[in-house]
Amino acid sequence: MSQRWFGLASGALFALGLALSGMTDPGKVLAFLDVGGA
Amino acid sequence: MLSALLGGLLIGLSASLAWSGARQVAGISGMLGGFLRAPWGSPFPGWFLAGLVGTSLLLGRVNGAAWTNASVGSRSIGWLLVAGLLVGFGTQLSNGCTSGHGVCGVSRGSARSLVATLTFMTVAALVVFLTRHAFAGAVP
Repeated sequence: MSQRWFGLASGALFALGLALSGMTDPGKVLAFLDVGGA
Repeated sequence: MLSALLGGLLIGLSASLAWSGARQVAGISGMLGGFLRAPWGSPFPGWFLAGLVGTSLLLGRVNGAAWTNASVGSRSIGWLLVAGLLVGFGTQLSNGCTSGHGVCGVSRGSARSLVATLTFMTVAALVVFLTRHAFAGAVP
């Protein structure tokens, strides 16, 4: 029972974190990995 | 800048909650692999994925592309399929991905995770350099 709630809550928090940090935007991730500049 | 910090805090909080509450490593590939191998096994992976995907869908509805930018550039479906298969193969081979090794493993001081993280970050930067600069235009 608690496994479900911990799973649901941590999954939701993870999605919020990814969205807030902009890591759902492939362009931003690629820019971070682009050590050769823009 | 601030949103990146807050987002990172939330991801760390999520990983801490999964570990302290349910002794689970909050790795996306691990959750997906666990769920696909045994859908009716431990309830944690399935509910984690439900929370992850459900929240993303909600955020997309509330705030549109600003939150869940699904743009994949000019890549075709075929390339995305190849890339997805490679990611799936690699994460199963190394037992983790950016979240499992990079967030959880490195945080708890796992040498295996540190090696994995250094490897995939280096290779990722190399691939970006090759496709964007060295052979720009060669990859459709």
